Amino acid sequence: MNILETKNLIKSFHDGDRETRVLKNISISFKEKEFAAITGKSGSGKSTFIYQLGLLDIPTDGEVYLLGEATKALSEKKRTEYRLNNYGFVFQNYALMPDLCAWENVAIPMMMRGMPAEEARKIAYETIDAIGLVGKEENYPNQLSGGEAQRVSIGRAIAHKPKILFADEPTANLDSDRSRQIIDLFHTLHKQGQTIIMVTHELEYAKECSRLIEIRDGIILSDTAKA
Amino acid sequence: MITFTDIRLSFFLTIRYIRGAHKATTLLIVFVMLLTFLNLVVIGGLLQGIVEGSFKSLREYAIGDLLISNKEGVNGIKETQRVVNLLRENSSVKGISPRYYEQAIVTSEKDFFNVTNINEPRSFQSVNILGIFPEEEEFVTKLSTKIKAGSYFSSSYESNSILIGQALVKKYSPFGELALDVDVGDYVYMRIGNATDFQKFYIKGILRAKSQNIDNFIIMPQRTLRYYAKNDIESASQIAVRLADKSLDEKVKSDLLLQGAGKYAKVQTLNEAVGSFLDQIRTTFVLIGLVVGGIGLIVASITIFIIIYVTASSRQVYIGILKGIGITEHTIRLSYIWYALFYALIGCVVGLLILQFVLRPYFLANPLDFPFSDGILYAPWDSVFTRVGVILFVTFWAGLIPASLILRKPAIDAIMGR
Repeated sequence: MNILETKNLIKSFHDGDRETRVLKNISISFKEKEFAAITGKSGSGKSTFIYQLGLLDIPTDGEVYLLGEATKALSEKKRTEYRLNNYGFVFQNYALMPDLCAWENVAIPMMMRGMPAEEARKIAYETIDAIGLVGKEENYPNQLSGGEAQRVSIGRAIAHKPKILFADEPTANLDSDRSRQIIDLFHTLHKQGQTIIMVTHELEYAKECSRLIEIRDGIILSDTAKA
Repeated sequence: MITFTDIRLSFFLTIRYIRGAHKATTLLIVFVMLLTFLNLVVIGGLLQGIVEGSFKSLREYAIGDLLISNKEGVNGIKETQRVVNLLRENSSVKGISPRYYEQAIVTSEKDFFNVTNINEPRSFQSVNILGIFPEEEEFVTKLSTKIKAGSYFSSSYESNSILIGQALVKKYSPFGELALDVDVGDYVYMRIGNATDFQKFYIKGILRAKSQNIDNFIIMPQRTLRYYAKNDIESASQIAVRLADKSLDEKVKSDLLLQGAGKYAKVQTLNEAVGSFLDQIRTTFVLIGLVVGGIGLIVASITIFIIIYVTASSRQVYIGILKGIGITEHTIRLSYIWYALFYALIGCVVGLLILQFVLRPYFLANPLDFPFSDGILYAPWDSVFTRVGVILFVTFWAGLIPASLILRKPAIDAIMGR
């Protein structure tokens, strides 16, 4: 069974009378435990595509199916609930809450799912340690390097064990060493069975994934799975 | 529907917002809320305190807790002694002071002799005389504590000694030119009631009870009045009554009426005796206090609104991220409401402490000096907490509305800063 699927997905933006169609009739499916890389040039529509998949945005037309269930008609409340229970997000600019220290950032989704604060704190600590940031649990985002902040962001995305981990240009703001570390971390998670859908413009990293999808001008140009 | 998790996590977030907020900004907002509280409680409390102070003066130094007076169209209280006996039999009655009123004309000694015709003094005033039993009066009104100059009547009878209300004395009166140019130790000449000749009286003291019932009167022992008035003053004009507990006024009044006092006199509680005049002033001052406080409240709510709106707007991206990672709108909205309520609550708590430990003691020791009352700070706890409730209610909305406005934006637009 496909974990995620789109059918005839269209996304347009309007600027007055002018319509810009960013995604053009995309139909694609993802299976569990895949590590899919979506790549393409700037403005190709890859980020817009991942936002539709991640239920952060509503498509103009077509449908996104999560575990076989159509999502377009879902209320905002339900979409939020689906994101919480099924997804983890890693954003380009780390997107950590500045008022919260590392473990608190990681613990939030777990607490939202009803986990007691102490238990969430314990798991957050374990997660942060597992991603190689032992001793940084109480650090605030402004006390972390870019690579460390992105690791905390990954920690937040995986601590509540989501079905799918979305990563939007996770290495965009990092130097090559730190980028490598982040990609290696994704590979480790993938080996542990995590489904990952990553948007990246860095072909080197995209080629390492189990599936490579290239988008150009809002259509899927190629979709290659590794043997 | 808001869940326990929403409340718990929103608190968690609020504490972090507060912890991360700039300290000077936090202090400034708390200060604004403190001023709002003081504006709402103290301004209104002082305005109302003028009336309450006046009411207190009447109760403490002029009327007492119950007032028994003559019935309509009847001179004096018939069967005064019988009424007094009924009062003495009532265990709730602590003090009884029969009083006798007379009219007189008065002139200072200087003016009295500065005339061409002894029967037509050039300067005289029509005044009200109040005859009292000095020692009994003490049990009801403690007039001796309201002597502004000179002294109260001594325990031994002093013929021709009088106390004079400050409104009648040029030196102390707000209506100076019309008053007598006399002071303690001077003499005045008075023609009392139906008497045909003037008598000389010694001014023993000047009274300032901040009540027209005292400050506009010349007071003398009942025995003196009776001697000079040449009227039948067997019937007291009124009987001022002090109760052991002022809250028993209605009960004692009912008891007296049941025992037949109503046949001889009119029995009124202080509220009834004062009439609607003070009530109208009180209502007006309460309204003025509410208007002034209300304006302050509106300003504070707009301030809170702007603070929350600016705070939430500047965190729009983070709000988007929170929504993106699955935090519910309820949780985010509540976190900003708690944030606003935190400032209001701290402002109110600081205000309550200042009220209790600074303002109340200060105004008790230094009441505002108004001609007709000692202006106190009237802020009963139920009224104070009602105002705190109003501040918190307004703050709730001032936090909810801007947070909701920011939350309306789709998650992705907020994340992208669109």
